[in-house]
Amino acid sequence: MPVTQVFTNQLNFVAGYFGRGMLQKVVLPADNSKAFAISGRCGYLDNNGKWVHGPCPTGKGLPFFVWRGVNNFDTTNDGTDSGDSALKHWISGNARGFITCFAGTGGYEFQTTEFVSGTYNNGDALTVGTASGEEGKLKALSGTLYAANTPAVVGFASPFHQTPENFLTSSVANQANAVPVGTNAHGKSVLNFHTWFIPRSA
Amino acid sequence: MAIKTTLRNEAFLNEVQSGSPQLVKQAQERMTSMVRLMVREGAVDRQVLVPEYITYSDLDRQVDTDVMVKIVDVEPNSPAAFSVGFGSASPMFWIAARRVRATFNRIKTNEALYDVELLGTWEMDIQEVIANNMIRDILAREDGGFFNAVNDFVGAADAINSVTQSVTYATIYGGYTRETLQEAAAVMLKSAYRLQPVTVVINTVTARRLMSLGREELGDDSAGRIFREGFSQWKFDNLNWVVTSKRHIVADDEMYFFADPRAVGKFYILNDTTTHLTVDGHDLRFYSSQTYSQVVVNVAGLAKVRFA
Repeated sequence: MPVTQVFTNQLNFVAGYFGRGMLQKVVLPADNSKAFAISGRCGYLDNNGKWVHGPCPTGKGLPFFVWRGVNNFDTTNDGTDSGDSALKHWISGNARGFITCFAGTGGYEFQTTEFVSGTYNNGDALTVGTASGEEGKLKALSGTLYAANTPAVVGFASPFHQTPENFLTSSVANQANAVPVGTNAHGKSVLNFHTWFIPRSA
Repeated sequence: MAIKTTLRNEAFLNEVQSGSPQLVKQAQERMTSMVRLMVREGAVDRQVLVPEYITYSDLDRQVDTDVMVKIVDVEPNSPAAFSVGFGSASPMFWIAARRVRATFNRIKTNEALYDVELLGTWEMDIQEVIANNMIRDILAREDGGFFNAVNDFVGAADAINSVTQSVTYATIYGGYTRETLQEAAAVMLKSAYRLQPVTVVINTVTARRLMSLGREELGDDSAGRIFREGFSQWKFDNLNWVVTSKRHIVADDEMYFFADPRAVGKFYILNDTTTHLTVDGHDLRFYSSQTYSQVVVNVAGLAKVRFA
């Protein structure tokens, strides 16, 4: 079984973290989105106040980025048998599956490990994937902003920050303040972006 | 002689306004001590699982998380003994047992914000009110989480649990009678693990319904004593009966039976309920928090009953 680390799936702050008083929300993921409520992914809140992965549907907002997701043991720790989900070795009384999200209203610059591989340029509009393997992951918007049926935008790609002095590979040296995707200090590929919300076009 | 509450509030106001770290800490500690007292008296789950107070040195570090974790060993299962002929060798088994990952998280109340100058305008003992409100929030979350875990484990009503090979959540028909009460207490005994119920948790409405049982059901004068003096006179099979007013957690006509705490799970407290208070100019901010871990491990030590 592959070993994960605390930085394997992560939403990180680049700017905008100011502690108490930040726009955050503690919610439960919807049943069909529980597996995708992973740190760094994006979704929205449904009528029941539950987090659903993907871009906001028509007439709905806001996007919510997962900060403490189901991959964090203080959030989800059900001790279910990996080969038999009905068999429970333990059940936590304190970790009840509530994830912590940040509202994507602007004001943050984030770095996420959860994005769809591809080419990203600074200023590219970002939306959220729903296809298999892309659930809740950020992806470049295809199509034209404000055109009919254009998916909701949750942010815009921004330059990745990495100084050459702590590079991990020779190519990283060329990434300083350059393109939105780079390799962070943990060796993980991350996408840099500012949050901004443009609702889905009708 | 009672001290007028406005004077106590004024003393509190002076402490938090003083700017002196010592006096602010003193105000903080006065709130903290009241909060802790209420926790010991009020939490239902703490009468089922005995909390153990641990320190950071008791924690077990993990590779895949920076969250605080304590690993708990669980009694191993082993094959049963059997009869063999003389000269026969024993089959062998490799020792294995479960380990449980008890992870910690934090309960926090909402953060209260107030203008320190307005504190002195209250006649009520505002420190007491604040502490009581915050402790209710924390206790409700702690109890709710525990009973959610228990409900997860006992599963659907009248279904056979694959571990205990018995029903762990039973519906009992026929109302409250001698027979149905005994049947309720027997639910846990039917498990393959043979544990005995020690504690029962019911709500105040269920307690009232039990108190209406008459002499013909209870069999002696205790019916009269219970009617006159209340549920404290209720005795049944040496079980420890815990009555909660939290009907949103323990519903009417439900009974939760728990075995000895050692056969149910673990409850660790890393940082007990504490009030965090800061004063910045005229802004007074405070909230309470608690860092703990609670794991329900053994479904055989649980039984839930609903009287239909």
